[in-house]
Amino acid sequence: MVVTFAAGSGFTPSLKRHASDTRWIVLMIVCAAALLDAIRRLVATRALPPRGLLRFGLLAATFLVVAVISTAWSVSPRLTFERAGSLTILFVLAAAIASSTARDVAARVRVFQGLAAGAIVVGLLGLFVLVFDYDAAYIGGEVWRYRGFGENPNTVAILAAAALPLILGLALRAGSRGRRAAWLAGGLLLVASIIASESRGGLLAAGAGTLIVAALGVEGLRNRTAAVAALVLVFAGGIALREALEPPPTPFASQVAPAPPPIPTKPVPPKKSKSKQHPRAKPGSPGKHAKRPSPTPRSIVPKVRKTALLPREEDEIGHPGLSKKSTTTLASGRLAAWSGALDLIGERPILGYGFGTEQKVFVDRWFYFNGGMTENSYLGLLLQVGAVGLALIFAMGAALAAGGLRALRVLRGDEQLLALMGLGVLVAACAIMVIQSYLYSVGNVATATVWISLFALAPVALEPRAAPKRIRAAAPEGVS
Amino acid sequence: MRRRVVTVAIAALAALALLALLVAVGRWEKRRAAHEELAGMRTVLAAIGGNIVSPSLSGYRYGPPDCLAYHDRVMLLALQLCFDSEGRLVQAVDRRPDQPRYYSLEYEPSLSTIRFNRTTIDELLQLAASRTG
Repeated sequence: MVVTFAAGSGFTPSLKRHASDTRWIVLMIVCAAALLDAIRRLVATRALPPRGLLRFGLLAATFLVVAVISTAWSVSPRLTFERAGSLTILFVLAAAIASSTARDVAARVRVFQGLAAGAIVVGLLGLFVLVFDYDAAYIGGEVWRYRGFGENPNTVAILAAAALPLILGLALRAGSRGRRAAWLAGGLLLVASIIASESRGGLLAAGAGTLIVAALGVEGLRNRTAAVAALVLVFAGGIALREALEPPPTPFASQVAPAPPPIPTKPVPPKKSKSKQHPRAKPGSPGKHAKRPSPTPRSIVPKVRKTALLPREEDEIGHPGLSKKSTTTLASGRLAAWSGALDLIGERPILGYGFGTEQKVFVDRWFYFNGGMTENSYLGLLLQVGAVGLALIFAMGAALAAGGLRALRVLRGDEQLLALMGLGVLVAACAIMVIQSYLYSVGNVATATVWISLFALAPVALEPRAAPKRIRAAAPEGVS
Repeated sequence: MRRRVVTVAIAALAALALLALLVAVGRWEKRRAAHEELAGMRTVLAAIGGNIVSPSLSGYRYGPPDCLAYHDRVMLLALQLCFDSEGRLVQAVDRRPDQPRYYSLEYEPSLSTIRFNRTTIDELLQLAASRTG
């Protein structure tokens, strides 16, 4: 599933075209299989899903309800309904997996192994692209940026950032040196991919997620210090490399064209307009402008002098030909775009423009910014479902973070490490949210990995004291 | 048992009331935002002289949305109006301040109540294109 979704954001249009439909089929099949398995297990044990999962599920369901009913005020009701539907499928899939694995640590390990292996396969596919189709594996321009199997340099970087806490945790719990080396090699491949992609946000997110796992999961003070120091060096070094390679911004010089001098001509009486008011035009103040007897363009032909072609819409703000002042180039122009997004949010702050409409509402008009969305999930959520929707997502994250940290004190062995991996993904996910619009977009390469990991954390984080009991019930001989 | 049913019924009613409230607030926000954007568009339109057929026509861009620009006394492309295929004004830009001001209903053109004759818009676009220097 991870690979199919990565292909949906693949490096060639034909790959994207083929995978964009396939990924939904795969999602449906995996969702159906996970749901059937969860129901089978619940029927066999005659038990409800774990209370912790039900609590988290209630928050998730409340968010989904807000997303679905935002159809009522959405700028594109159909789009909103479709996007809310696809997120519902992903939440059902993640909840079913969490329910099935809540009482089965080994199964939860396998889920995390699957997610981590999927990300490593995407990393390996990127290497193949680099070897066999070098020109397709990078994006040129001022800075060489590796994109590997992904559509752009950030695609693989955010998947790697979400998966690296899982990979590090799996390496820490590996039973043999060979397995540990294999997971570490996979992790190094993904770290190298992020560094080569020059994605500062990806590096920051991967660094934050893996640091949590290393700081709390590595045993022994010396090993822990060495692991943390190595991670800080690698990720800080990657960010420093990007900063060093970034070309300095070109100095801004406004080239705003002055207005033409006025033409001293006699006033020309307007000719009677042949063009009539549009039959569907509404009366009232706006119509006044249109209804007023106005000259046809021909009557102004002698007066209109030299005209200019406007720049592209996506380059208007900060364009030297249109702007008196430059816009900031910080964070690849994101800060300027975010300021514009905040203006939009200010128009509809409580409930937003409708779930799934970020791409429709947010228009890139910034000269130094490239992106169809705000490239920030927090702003994206505010834009789509307002403060209410963002508060619900915050509540989900806060519940998992607080519960997860509490659970670490209660849990032992694999259960503790799995909770730590979930927390690592949570931290990485929060960091990725700062640089990407993704958490609510099921088609995004990292979304499934993040939500499946977070739902798997929920039964443990929101009901930690029940975990040892569950483990004893599931495996009386004990699971290490 | 009966007490439980009553509790569930009250909870369901409260949930329904909350949903209705959300819908009401969402729609109110939508109307208010559209009203503010339209008010901004009218100020730009007024700055041009209230009519898109103006001798201050100074720029253009084929879209969608199709845009026309107008000069003031200082800037060539000081003001800008953009229209959808039905002639609805969906965006207005005022570049006279240091930071440009955008008023837009591009995301849902049907909210715009300011409409112009599409033929006139096309003629103005052609005129502006013919005078590009």
